[in-house]
Amino acid sequence: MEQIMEIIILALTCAVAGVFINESKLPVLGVMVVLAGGAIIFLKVLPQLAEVIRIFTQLADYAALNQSYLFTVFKVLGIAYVSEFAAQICRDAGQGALGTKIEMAAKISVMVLAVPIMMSVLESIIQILN
Amino acid sequence: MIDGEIIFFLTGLAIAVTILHTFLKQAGRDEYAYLTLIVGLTIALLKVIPVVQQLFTQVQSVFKLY
Repeated sequence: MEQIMEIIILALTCAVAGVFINESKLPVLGVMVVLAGGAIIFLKVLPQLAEVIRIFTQLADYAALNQSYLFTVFKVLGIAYVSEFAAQICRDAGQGALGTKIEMAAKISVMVLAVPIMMSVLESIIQILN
Repeated sequence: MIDGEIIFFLTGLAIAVTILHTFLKQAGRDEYAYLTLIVGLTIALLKVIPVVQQLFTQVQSVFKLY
């Protein structure tokens, strides 16, 4: 419980510091403070997420699920998160167009990752029909 | 609060650079004033980039993105 409070305090300090720095002669530092704050907040949460992912892989082993599908899901999750992080930072810095371009690239890479799974699903369906 | 340390470091850096910049501009040395901006920027980059790099390496290892 106290970790979420720590994160909230850190986020508020970042917001206040960012606004303050935008008034100074180096507004670019404001974007950097927000970037560093966002990175630190996620670094704090990452260990728990790693734990959840480890449990999912164990469950997949019990269910004898194919490992590659699970890893593709994790990859998609990772790509989605990193591109969301970067797109938001770009929008904060005033570069809306850059943000949308990052998201478009992320969507394309996710689609590329999803193609093998679709192929295997189609193959299994065709086998059932024959 | 180790993590808040970088936030306060950047804020202090911004204050110092602003004061130095205004002071040098008053003293008529505009090129040095601009130079302090660049020095401040590089110091900030030197502190922020390792944090972001650590984030991306950890995300890569957690989500098996390599």
